[in-house]
Amino acid sequence: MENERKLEEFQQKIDANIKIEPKDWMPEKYRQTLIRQISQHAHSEIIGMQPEGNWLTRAPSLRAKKILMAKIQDEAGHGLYLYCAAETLGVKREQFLQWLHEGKAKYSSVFNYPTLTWADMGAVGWLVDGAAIVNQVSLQGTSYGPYSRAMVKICMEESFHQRQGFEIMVQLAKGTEEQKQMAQDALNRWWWPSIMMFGPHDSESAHSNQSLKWKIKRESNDELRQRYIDKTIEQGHHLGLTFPDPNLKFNEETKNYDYSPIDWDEFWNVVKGNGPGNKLRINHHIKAHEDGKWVREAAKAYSNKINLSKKTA
Amino acid sequence: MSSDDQGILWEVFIQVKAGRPYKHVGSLHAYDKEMAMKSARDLYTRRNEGNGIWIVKAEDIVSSEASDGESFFDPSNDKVYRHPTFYKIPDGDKAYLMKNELIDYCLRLGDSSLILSHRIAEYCSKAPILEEDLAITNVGLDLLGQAENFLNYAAKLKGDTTADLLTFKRREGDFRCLHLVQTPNTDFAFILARQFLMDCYHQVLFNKLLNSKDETILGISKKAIKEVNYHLDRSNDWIKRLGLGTKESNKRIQNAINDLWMYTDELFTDNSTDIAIDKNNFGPLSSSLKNDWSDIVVNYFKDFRNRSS
Ligand SMILES: [Fe+2]
Ligand SMILES: [Fe+2]
Ligand SMILES: [Fe+2]
Repeated sequence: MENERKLEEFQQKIDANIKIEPKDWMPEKYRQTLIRQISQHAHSEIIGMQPEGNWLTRAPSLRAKKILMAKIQDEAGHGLYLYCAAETLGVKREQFLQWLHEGKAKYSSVFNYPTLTWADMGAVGWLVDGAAIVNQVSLQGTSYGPYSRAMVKICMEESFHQRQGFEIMVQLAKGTEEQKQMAQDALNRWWWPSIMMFGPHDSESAHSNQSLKWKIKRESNDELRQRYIDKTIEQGHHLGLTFPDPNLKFNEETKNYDYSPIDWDEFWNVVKGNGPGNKLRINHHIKAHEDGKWVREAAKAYSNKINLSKKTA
Repeated sequence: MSSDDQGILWEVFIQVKAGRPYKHVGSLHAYDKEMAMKSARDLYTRRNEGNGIWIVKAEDIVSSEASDGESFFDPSNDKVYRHPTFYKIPDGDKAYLMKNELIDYCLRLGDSSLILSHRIAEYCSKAPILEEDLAITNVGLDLLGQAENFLNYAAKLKGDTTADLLTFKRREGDFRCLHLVQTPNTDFAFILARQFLMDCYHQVLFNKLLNSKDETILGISKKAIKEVNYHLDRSNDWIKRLGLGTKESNKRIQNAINDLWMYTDELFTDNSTDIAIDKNNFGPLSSSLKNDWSDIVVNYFKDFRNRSS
């Protein structure tokens, strides 16, 4: 009875677009959904540093190197903002990392694909960050205060990420024949994975309805995916490149681009970690975490000593 | 629950301009307040958004049921990719007689910063805690900027080349960097010790270069000294943490210092370039840096040895 009344009040707040703050009452399922979604988002930012970090030492100019370094650093910052937002729900960062290492927490499967050439730095920035931005812009309006505030900061910083990727694509697409081929090859490999970043179709998505009702998400997977496709196709044509989808066509009626059915078998295979990339990414993260253990212990021990000497002084 | 400890949670408040209110911008993890303050600077003022920072332990905030020195904020001013501003090389009269020595000197300084920043780039996504990944990347970006400035100047003096060509098309044997910066990222202690030794060196060097008669070197050094002061502050904090932390960390950092020590002689060895540079008042003799450097290094070590006993 009591709970029902609270639930009703809660929904009224949501409907009135009042943000929910950490200490406010919230349904347990709301909390659990946020914990899962925000931490998954945080893990994606952190694991996403690896495919780009792969090219940091081989960036072809000083300028490109600086930009890429700053971009990957931003992603670390995004992960950090998001872990902190998730922590307000009562789970500590240590726990999130443990879940990631144990395979209990997911991250965006797009980061399991390898980055084979420098053109992939272009395609990742343009397509992967481009898709992420569409999702993140929408999430600025999420009902949970700390998550929403993190998204506002992230969106501000993301604007240069997609641009740096697109700039690389422009350079290659307008370059020599070989460079153009590199750009096309990267687009071919990253197009479908970027489309899959929006998750399963609305009809298949288990949590979607409740999340929309609670305004954890503001728009459905398919709506966001369509927005991303429409905006990206135009940019691709500007580059003079083609998309690996023979059925891509502007639909005069809906004013959207139609596209081929998505290969969900591949999607689920990658999500479940059945690829070599998944092991590589997680092992890299576990190794860094374990290599750093003695440093964290030292920092902790040092702060204990400092506090102790202050108390006895 | 895992036994790992990611440090204390801190809340960060930033004042954008003097006189404005401090606004909450987010949180971070750190083990002590020095680390919290520096991480806040590295994380929340990367785009030069700050004039002042407050940090407070999250647990100390009671919630209802429903300024530092120039080196702290200045460096993010010029992250070109974020707010593009490039350092302009003034066309002063050049001492053409010693152009080759000047080129050699700029390559030496530029190459050392370049390779050190390259080592830091290799470490990306491998730091012990996320906050440190961000912070160390800021150091790497500063160094890369310094490298670019010196290599641009060298390219301009040489003519017919660019900083990029010097970076990517020179033969390995033509690089002028110190051997210290080439040492591998063996572990966090080595990375830190290498950084600390170089930060001390850079601080002494750039302070001397503030008297350079060469306008360009002077300009680069004015900017670099602010960055380097901050780098040293940071690496010194870590030297203390590791030196005083646990038995293991003490052993590791001591080993790293011992192993890297043999590379430090080179920092103070004069050659014909040094002599020409010094004679024209463009820069100091390398050998003249040794006393100041030793003072700084030894003092820091003494500092934490006293406190550990
Ligand atoms: Fe991001
Ligand atoms: Fe991004
Ligand atoms: Fe990203």
